[in-house]
This record gives sequence, structure tokens and C-alpha cells, in this order.
Amino acid sequence: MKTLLAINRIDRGGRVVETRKQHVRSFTQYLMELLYIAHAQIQSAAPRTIYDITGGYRTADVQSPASGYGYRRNKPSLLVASPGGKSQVLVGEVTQYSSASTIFTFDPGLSTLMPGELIGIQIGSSSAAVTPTDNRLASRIPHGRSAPVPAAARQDANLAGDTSDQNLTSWYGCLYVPKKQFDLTSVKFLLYRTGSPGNITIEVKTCRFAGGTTFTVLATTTSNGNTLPTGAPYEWREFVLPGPVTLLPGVPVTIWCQQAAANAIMRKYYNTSGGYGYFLNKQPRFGSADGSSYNSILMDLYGTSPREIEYGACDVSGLTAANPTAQFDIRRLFTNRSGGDITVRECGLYAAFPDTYSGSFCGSGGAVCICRDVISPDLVVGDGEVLAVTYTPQITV
Amino acid sequence: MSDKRATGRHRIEARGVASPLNPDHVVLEPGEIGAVLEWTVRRADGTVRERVAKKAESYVRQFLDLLLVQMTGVPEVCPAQITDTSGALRDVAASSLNFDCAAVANIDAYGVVVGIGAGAPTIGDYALQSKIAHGVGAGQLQYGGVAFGMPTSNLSASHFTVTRDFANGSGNPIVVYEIGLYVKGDMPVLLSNSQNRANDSASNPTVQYFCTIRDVIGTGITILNGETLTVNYRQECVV
Repeated sequence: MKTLLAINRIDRGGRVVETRKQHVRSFTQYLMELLYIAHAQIQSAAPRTIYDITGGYRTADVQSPASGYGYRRNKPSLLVASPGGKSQVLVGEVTQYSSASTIFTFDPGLSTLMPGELIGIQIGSSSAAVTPTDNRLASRIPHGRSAPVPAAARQDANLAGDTSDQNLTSWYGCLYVPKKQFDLTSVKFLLYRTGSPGNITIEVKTCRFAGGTTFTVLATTTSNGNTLPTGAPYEWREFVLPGPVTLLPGVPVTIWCQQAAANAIMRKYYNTSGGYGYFLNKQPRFGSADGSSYNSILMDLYGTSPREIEYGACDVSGLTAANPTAQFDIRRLFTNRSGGDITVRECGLYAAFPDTYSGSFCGSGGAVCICRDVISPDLVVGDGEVLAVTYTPQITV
Repeated sequence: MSDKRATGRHRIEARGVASPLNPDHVVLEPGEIGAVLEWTVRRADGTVRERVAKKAESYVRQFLDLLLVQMTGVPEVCPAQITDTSGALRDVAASSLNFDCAAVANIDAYGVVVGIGAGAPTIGDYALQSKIAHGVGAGQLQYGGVAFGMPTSNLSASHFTVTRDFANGSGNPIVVYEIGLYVKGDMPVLLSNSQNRANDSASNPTVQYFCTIRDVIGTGITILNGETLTVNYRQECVV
């Protein structure tokens, strides 16, 4: 099977002003992984461990609940079609024990939802050479209309409601859900000390909303806790990561820290009076990593972000067969409304998959990169222009 | 990649027909997704009489049909129609059963299959021209279980392997002219008084079989009585 990649650049007037055509060079190991999992019917007792688009490990299989209401065997591995931008895609499956729990089928948990932009055709700005083990675009251009933030600046924060202490003898921090893509370069927590704690360690690692999992530490660093203040007004201590970590929209990560000697204290928002503290605090994306409903984590996130482009729907259709050939198309439109030029040097395909079945839980949504290509020479999409990208897989006997 | 199952069990000695190629020498073009077909014929004493590797030529339409069903996430309420190995159009929806070819021994309905039809492949082939049935009767071969080599990659390629043995206990030589891969497709059953699939348990799936690859071996592969044919399909993509 060969795949033709066609790219048209369309100006504001709807005219095609540039056309590129090339054969796809670079289907990756992860396409073979998903096909293997399907062909060999890999079960949850011995799942495959694969890298997803976060750069972290996930486990995958085909297993669903053995029976029950809502049992559809519909773990959508290899899903490439998706709506555009932030539109939701259901990736996964939830057991429905009885007709009374129908709600689980029609109102699925957060773990099974992904934004449409992360599924289907992707574009990026890196010209790094492709390899069979590429697990994501090297420098993905995210969905949106924003101009770039080239120097590290605040990308997101939860600063209000400093009410309570949290001792860092165990790992403690935030299950953080980004609402947009950015490259995290440093994290600030509000800290103080009670003695001489020594180094405090921070980790940024992959996670899920629920279910068993395999975690991957994406970055870790330390800061000297002996230089923290011993009381109010405390210090927003900055942990500078050794390299930027790309956070993806709607894909949770755990950002937490630890100091084993019990002398380092994190300040947090803690509220039991109204029930769900972090909902009251209006910061639902900063829930605590321990799952407590009463805590929200005070955190200040810094980083950079690239210029954004709007992701349209990714359409998979048009299968035709006329001996000796059969083919179909995968298409997506990208519209530049960012106010400046966007240079495209790579494109690829992300395919959604739900990870390992566990008990009544059929896996969180995720995606793998099944194809990545470098586009050369650079393709510059001006403000107001549209990029139409079409993959055409074709078989010939 | 050679068939490792014989290593250490028998002295492998090639005294018959042998291709100069092994699967690592069969080169797909950059960007291509394809299969490398390798077959080995062993005598009753385990020695190799014939080993050949070649580029498989013939993904057929149903491979793309099932790929499109999965990539689109076709739901049960508006399934796609795909031709099964009997020639009938079947309703198929996205499912974790699609592409399943992990057939156990004695099952010739799916997995790697072999036949005696020599007609040139066409894109619309939905079955082998004349499949050899499982058994020890005249013209039959004993189908082993389908085994898999797990995905691996090197600097330029990624692949996994689907393998099956066919033992000739029929009493006479059998010549194989065609080799194919049959996989499962999941057919939803909907009921007017239920919001579930009717076939809603793992023990009660409603599946049919679909041909995704058909290759024709022009010169045929002769399997004498007592000999075993091993077929490896190595599905591969190349950067």
C-alpha cells in the first residue's frame, strides 16, 4: 500500500496558489502496533506497551467487558476521523451494569474524551528527519488563533485561596488539565520550610483520570529547600525544567513535588464547607493528584507557545475500487487566522486508541502517531489562507 | 526473519529449492506499507526442502474497507457494507474484533489460508479461488494455530509477522498456488426493543470473515505427504 500526500494552499479568494504532491515516506511503528493488537487480539492480561503522543508509555489491548448493557466491543483503535478543533471525540468505552446506569453510556467519563484536534491529520514546524519510532510530530502546531509566545511567560495559573498547609513527605501536587497546547518550561509552587529540608524534587509525568496505568516521567528537577522562608508570606519557588515539556489540550498530567524530610510545606486551597472545594474555587483544571474533592493546588505555569492554526474536521471517506487499484481519502483543512505567517515543515496522522481494559473500565482515550512526514521546502501559510491536506492510501494488486 | 520455531529443535539443512532472499532482503519502497511473504517446506524429519521469500503483491479491497471502518469509527447504527469470503455483503461496524486473525488449530475459516486456485489476483477478490480445507482427507491439509511475531523496528522499517503451519497428512502430494489472509469483521445485531447490541457478550459475537490479502504463486508449492508448509506474512512499513 502506498499513500499519496497532497497539500494545497488556498488564498483568501479561494484560489489554489500552491500545490505539493509526494508519496508518504514515513508510516511508523505505531501503525504496526495497532494493526498487530487487532490481528493478534491482544488481551489486557498481557497488553502492548506503546508510546502515545505525550511521549509517555501507555498500555493497549482489544479487551472489553465480557458482557452487559452497553457492551459494544467498540474500542475505537485506529480512529482517524474527527471533528475539528475542540469538538469532543469519545475514545473508549464504559461498562453499563444495568439499564439504570444508561447514563454512563451517553454521558461518558472525562477519561474517554479527547479534543478533535488531537485526532487525524496534524501539521508541525520541525524538519527533523523521520524515524520508524517517531511517536509524535517534533513540533506540532496547535489548534487556535493565537499569536506565538516566543519567550517564557505565564501560560496558566491558580493563585487564589491560600488557606492550608500540605506537608511534602509524600508526593503531592496537581492533576492538571491544559486547555491549550504550550511548552512548559517552569513551575512555581507556594512553599515554605520548618527546618532544613534540602532539595525538593518536582516531577511532570503522564497520568490518566481513572483506571490503572503506566506512568512516564516527562521531566524532573530539584530546588534547594534550605533557602525557602520559614513562614508567611511564603515563596513562589520556581522549578526550571531541564527542557520544555509539550502539554496537550485536554490531556492531563501530574505536576507534583516531594521532600522526604518533612520540613517542606506546600500551601494549597482547602475548603470543606461547601463540598467540592475546587469547584467552588472555579479552578477545576487544578484538582489535587490525590483525588480529593476539597483541595485545589496553587500553581503558576510558565512556558512558550507556537502560533496557532485552526483545525477543521478530519474526514475519512471516498473508498473507490477499480481493478487493479483501490483507495480512499483522509482530508483536513487548516485555516490561519493568527495574524501572521505559519511555516509548515512536517505533517502526520494521529490515530486514537483507548488504553488497557481494567475491571469495568475500558481505558482512557489516547492517540499514537502512525505517520510523520517532512515537507520540503518549507510551506508558508499566510494569514487568512487555508491549507488542505489529503492523504490517499492506495493498494494495487 | 527466519522461522525461529525450528531453531534448536532440528538441524536445518537446505537441500532443495531455496530463494536467495530472506524477508530482510525483500525491500519495500520507502513509505510503502506491505507484506513480505515467506514460505518454508520441511520434510518429515524437519529438514528444509524449500524456502522462498518474496514481496506479497496483493492486499485486496477488504483490507481498505476494514481500515476505513476503523479509521472512521463506523457505528452500529449506520454500518458499512463489506463483501465476506462467501461473496455476501455484510454490515460491519468499528469493533475490537475487526482484523482478528488469531485462529486456533484445525480452523480453516480464518487466519492464514492456502488454496489451489491460480487465477491472477484482482482488487475485488473476496476469497481464495479454491481454498484447501482442513483435514487429512484427499486434497486436505491440517491447519495449525496462527502465531504472531511481535512488532519491532529498526532504523528504517517496522513490522510484525503472522505465521501458520500446514501439514500434509493426506497421503498424496498437494500443490498450493494461492495464499491469503482471512480476518474477522464484527457485524452488529440491533433489536427494536433494546439499546444494546443483541450479540452483547464475548461468547456471543456475530462475526464473518473477510479476505484482506491474496497472493498467487505461479509455480506452485509442492507439499509431499508428511511434509509441512510454514507461511509467514510479515506486515511491514518502511521509512
